[in-house]
Amino acid sequence: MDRTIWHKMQSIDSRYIYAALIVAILIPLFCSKLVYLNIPSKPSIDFYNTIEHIASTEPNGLVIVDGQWSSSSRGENKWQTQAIVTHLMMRHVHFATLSFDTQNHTLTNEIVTALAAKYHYVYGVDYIDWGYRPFQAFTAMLKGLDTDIPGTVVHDSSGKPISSFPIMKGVRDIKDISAIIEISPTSSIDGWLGLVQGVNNTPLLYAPTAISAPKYYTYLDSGQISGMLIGVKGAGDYESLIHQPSFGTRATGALSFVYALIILLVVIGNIGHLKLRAMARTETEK
Amino acid sequence: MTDPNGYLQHILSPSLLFGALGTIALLSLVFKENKLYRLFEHIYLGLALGYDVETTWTEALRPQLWDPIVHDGQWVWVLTIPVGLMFYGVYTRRFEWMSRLVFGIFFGAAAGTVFQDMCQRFVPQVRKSFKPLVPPPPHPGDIHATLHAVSYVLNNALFITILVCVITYFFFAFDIKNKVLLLMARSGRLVLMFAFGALFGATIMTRMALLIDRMYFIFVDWLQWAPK
Amino acid sequence: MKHFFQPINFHEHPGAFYGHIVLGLAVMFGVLGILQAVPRQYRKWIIAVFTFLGGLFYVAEFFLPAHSGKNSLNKYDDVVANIFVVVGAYAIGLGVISLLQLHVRKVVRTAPGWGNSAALIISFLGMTVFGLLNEYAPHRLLFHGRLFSQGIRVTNSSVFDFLFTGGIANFGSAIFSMIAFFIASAAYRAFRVRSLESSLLMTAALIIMLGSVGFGTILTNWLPLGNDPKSEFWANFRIENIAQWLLLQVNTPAQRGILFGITLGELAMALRLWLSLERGSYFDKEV
Repeated sequence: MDRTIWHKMQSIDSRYIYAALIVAILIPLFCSKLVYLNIPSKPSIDFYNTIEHIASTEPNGLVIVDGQWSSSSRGENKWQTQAIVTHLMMRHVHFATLSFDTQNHTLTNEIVTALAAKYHYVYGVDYIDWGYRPFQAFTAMLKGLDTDIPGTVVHDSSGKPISSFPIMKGVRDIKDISAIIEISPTSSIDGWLGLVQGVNNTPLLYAPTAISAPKYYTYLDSGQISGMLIGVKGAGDYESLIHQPSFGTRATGALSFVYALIILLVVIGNIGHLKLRAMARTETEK
Repeated sequence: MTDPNGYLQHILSPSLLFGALGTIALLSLVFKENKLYRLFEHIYLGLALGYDVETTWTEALRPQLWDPIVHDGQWVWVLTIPVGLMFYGVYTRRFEWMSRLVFGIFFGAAAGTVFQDMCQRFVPQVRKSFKPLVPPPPHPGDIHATLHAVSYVLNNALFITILVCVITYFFFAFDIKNKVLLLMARSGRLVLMFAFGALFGATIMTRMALLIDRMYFIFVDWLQWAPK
Repeated sequence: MKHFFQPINFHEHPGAFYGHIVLGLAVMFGVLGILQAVPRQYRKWIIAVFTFLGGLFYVAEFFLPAHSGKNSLNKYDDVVANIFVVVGAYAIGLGVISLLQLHVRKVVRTAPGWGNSAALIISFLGMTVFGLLNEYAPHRLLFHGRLFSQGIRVTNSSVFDFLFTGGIANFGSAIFSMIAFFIASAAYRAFRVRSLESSLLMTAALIIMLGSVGFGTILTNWLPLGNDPKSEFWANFRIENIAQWLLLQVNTPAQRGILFGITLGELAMALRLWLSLERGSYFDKEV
């Protein structure tokens, strides 16, 4: 059977698709002056409002920022971390970073150290790094945080006892924590939901990769998660809310072009498919 | 490019160059399997494993095992060494069963938290599924009070209906013959298709974001061809 | 008994310090020796008992009544957590040994691909060594000279930075970003109007995609944002609001239905694991 235009429309060579994808990403990267309409989603606004609420009502409160991302998901989680930590520092909210992934500890530290210099944040007074713990001890660590934070965490990443730092004064257990922020590409938030959040109804904020987000809308609905930054779009939303545009804003623009390309490909494929189906039906009727 | 020497120094800076060459080599798999991809894949595995080892010592074992024993006299931590050695029984026929002892403790501990997890994570989900079908009193000054009340009730009714249909679909305990239940199961299946479509749409965002990050690194951070 | 486990100042009582360590290790290895000597038919029972005890602490800690928010077991949560951190950290060697066994064998036998295996071993050793050197002596100078008329200083810290920031951070990202190409190709080939289900899948994906980026928002940007009561109704038809509504009102109950099934399965699985009722290739293996 001759390959008609309709056959070709539904079987475009993958290499052309790959090349078109790269071009679709590069156009907005090179045309940085293009302005993209980005309206923050409600989960992003709720995330932002929760931090704002803590900043205004609990000026000396401590927020736990738990990172479980690594280089494999840095395209989304790194920019979420940057936007979140920027907001915490802009509003002078105290926070403690914790990692259950080996790479995450260094990656998060790089972001926090760079921003601390910009916002004059002092280690041990305004923020602290609780360091890395093996993921095998994740459940046990969360259980320990419920009842005794200094006894469970023991030391910061440099080996000093955390109780020696001014930021940890008065922090005994989960009741002394203002919020928990989980930045993760995995379902580790289930541990925080099941073992920590419900003990004192501590606000739990989640910054997943977009792939995990639809699953966790159910916890947003029940109020167990107070806000959610969904993937790189969430990072872009947050950057626009705190007025600090960065990669998230650029990426949201690039995503527009990529989605336009994918929708175009889907339309082309379906036109070919439907036309061939109609032609086959006509042949059968004859 | 006002300073060619400075630009050359920038793109030849070891860290950036290594990262860029590795990125291009790894992405080359998309077009064709090649030796450069395999080489950089193995280099990445080696680096990641080495980093895991180093971090485990500096962040976990040194501050919580070595320092307490050597500096604080907490000799009792030495007793964890035989327990840790039991993991390595897996490499011998004679002591293989001992590794199952220590794995069993970890499995048991994780399983033991399931009751608290059920109460704290799952029970609120059940509670919040019973959505009210009676609208709340309207806010004072709300000019669309009736519309808000109607949409509130319809949204909640839709939510409960979809939830029940999806649960009915997953009920495999016995054959469903009742026409109403069959219709509910079929509707649940269609809604699940919708949910999976949303999941796929979100998957596309994640994967594209990773590629956009890599293109940003190559063209903005490394080559500086695109503006920051 | 409690006194026996108290910390001992090594400088003041070195004999007691080493004595306690030797005695403690002797007792531990003695216990392991007794366990090893137990007849084979009782080993599965011993594993079941250890598994049960491992979970019993947290089950009892949850169910015991609390007074002023805490019960008698809560005070041991931090000790248990620290023990798990240390013992869990020992498991790092399992991955190292497994991977190195495979690749060292390849290099020794010069099997096909042995060059890649050698690269793996070299990068593993390099990262471990320079990671530790970065921790203990970050500023120690390794090389100081001139290259292309530029002065260069190579320290432990700069080598670590080269390997981590240049290597791991970029390579990991690149490997996972490859999937983007395949996803685009898969979306093009999978999203076809073949049946009601596939059409729904495609429609859902397209609406969510359109609702999350500027390209989609522009399509309905002519509708009001809904900031005032008069325009609120029409704002509901903006694509991003439709996408949010679908995620909250259609996707959420569907995901919750799936969650109910998964959670009940998790409970059953957890009980089977805790009570050693689980069957399968690992659990049925002869000990």
